Amino acid sequence: MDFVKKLISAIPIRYATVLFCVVLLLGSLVLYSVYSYRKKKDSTFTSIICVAIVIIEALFFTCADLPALQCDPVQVRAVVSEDARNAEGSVQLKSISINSESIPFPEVESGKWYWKNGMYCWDQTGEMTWGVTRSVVLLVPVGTERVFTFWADAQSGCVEITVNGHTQTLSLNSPTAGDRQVRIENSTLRKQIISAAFYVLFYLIVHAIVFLIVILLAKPLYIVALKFFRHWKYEICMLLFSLMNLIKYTRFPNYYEYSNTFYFNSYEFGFIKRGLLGEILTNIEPYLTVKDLLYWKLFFSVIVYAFISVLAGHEIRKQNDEKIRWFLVLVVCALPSSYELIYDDLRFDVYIFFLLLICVVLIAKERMIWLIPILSVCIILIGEVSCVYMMPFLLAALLYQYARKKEKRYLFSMIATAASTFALMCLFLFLDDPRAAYGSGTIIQHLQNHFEGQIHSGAISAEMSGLSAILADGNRKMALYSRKFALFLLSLIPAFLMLWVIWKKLYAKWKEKNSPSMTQKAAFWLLPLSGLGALIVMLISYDYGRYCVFMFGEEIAGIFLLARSEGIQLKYSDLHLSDQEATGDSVWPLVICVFYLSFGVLGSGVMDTPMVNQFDKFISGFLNA
Amino acid sequence: MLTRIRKAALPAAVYLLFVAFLLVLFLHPQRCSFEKNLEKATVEGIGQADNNQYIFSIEENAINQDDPFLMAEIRGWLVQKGEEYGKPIPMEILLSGKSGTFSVRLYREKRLDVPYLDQRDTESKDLYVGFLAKFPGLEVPKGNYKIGFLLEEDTGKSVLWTKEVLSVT
Repeated sequence: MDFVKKLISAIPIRYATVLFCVVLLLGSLVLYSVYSYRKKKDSTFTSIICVAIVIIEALFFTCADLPALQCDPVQVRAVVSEDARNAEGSVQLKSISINSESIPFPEVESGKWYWKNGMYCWDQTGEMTWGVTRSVVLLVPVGTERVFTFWADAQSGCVEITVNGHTQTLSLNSPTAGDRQVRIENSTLRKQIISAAFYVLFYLIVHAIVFLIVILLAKPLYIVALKFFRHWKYEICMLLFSLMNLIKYTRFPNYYEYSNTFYFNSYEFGFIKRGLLGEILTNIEPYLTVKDLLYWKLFFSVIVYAFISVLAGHEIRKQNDEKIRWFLVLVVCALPSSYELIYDDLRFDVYIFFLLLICVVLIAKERMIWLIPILSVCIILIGEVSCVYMMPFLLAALLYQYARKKEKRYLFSMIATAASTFALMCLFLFLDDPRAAYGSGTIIQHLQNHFEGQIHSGAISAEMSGLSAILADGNRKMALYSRKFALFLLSLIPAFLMLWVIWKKLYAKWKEKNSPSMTQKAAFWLLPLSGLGALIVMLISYDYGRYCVFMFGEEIAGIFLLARSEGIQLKYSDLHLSDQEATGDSVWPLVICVFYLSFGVLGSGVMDTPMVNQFDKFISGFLNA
Repeated sequence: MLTRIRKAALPAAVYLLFVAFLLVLFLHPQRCSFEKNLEKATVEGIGQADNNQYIFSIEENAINQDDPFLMAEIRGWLVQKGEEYGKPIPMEILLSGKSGTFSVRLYREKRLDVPYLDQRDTESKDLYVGFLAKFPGLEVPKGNYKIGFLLEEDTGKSVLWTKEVLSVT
């Protein structure tokens, strides 16, 4: 019996659960294999379902707390302290754990204490006002290594704990505040065995029910799901990669104060730059909790990722070569690191990029071109810097379509976009910021009213400073981080090389197909060159990674736009560095993608660009070796 | 000709609306977005709540004189007494003064420091007994306002007046 007792107390319940799941899994598989062998059926589907069900159950049962099928009544009694000064001190029970794992607060069989700051408390005031009793009986689940954690401080009294007839007294009075733990008696072996038997029985029944329901419901869906996956495989892969990045790099449930601050920048004090989204948001809801904003950011990120995946997947499927299809999926994932400014806590750039993609879709589909100037004004009102790193690409795309189609609507849209961008930029440059009359301190104090979390004072001060101050700051930082900037540019060379080869191949095929005029040729090359506008902002604002992400995003959007408009079919075997016809597939485009995937996201400012930091480490390690 | 006009009608309408929208933005007057949280109200026909059924505390009740909109903030908690534990109750803040009565929309806050709430589940909705009211003081005529709660009980609406006063100067 001693051996059984030791065994039970030695195996923590979560490992026992995992073991139990493995047994169930094997059992289910064996049973179904026998069944399918007899019926001569394919057992793949059920094998997948078996594994899935058992994994879900294992996760559920190891993460969730076990059902308390057997309990020990534990009496906790506040007693008069030996220390006369604290004769009627308080008692605060913080938590209860079994085998070092916290359990939900157990049922109270009798008595009543009250709750404060997440602790179950007794004191005399409570006794007088709320009918709190001196002792309570808690139904603590059966087990070994059961620990009660109390809060001890100068105001605390003594506590008496009785379980299985054994009583122990603990003084919680302490000059320094902190936790005090007390281990209570283990359950009797008989109770532990009954509890384990109940648990196994309960689990078996749940498993059988879940298994039956899933088998009955999922079988007809299996074929549909398989068809769905085969059709949307590119989109699913890109979306999964993006979501993986989202999970990996999200700051949730923490947040980045700097980028949050911009969400509350509105037109409350008059017309200002970067105020449109804040105006919309604060008009929908003037006060936001941290959770509200974080949930919105997560939701919008998923929307953007899904949009990008569907858009890219749609274009990728137009290519006939299966190899180039998967290569393009890899390029979308690797190069802009799935456009993931989630690392930067969803700044306004993502909204701007989202609008830009809508514009590109309209241009590619040749529909509602008149809407583009309106969207471009919205882009400028969200972030005026986009006039340098996004507007040139938009104008180049319109020019390319105009050169191709010679339709006036493209010319009109181009002129309207350029004129409205120019007019707005003049307004922002030459009109005084209405907030300047109050000073940044007052503005920050007011904006704090809109948000439960902390507003970043530096973000608003930087917003309100003039162009000359921004340029001076950029120069200072450039001098400070020149090595990092050089490394960053060095790490971009492979990407530029790969994009150059793709554009060159596209140009060759386009030229072969169209025999274009000089204007058309110029319009063609403006597309890849316009994306480089981001390099200017990088130099000024030292946010290298941030703008680089959009530069690559625009380059890829340009490639898709061109391939779609001209119906160009690319081949993976075309992607060779030399112009001569080569046989076989080149491996270097894949190597470049793997390079970016392994060095991670491009990130934001120079100080927190994971890719540069890892690249730095890699090069240092390589040189030292 | 008619087809061309019909084709141009939608873009023209959208452009006109957008230009109007831009003008509104450009000529945007100073306006606090919390303005919409404040409304004129009347308490006629609404009964008084039973004081013994509620416990409350108003911890903050002030106007920020440095704010351009004189932002006012009222913060605290209110619990409806239950047999076992206290519960939150839907409500609005009422401000009653010589110039009339105003109701202010509230934001809920989770409170773990309020005794007598069941805190076994710290994610429980029942812990949202804290309240926070924010509104621009500029929108309320100067004077002293008695603070009350407009409660939504099972039997209907009722008012619970406190002894707290907000001075708008």
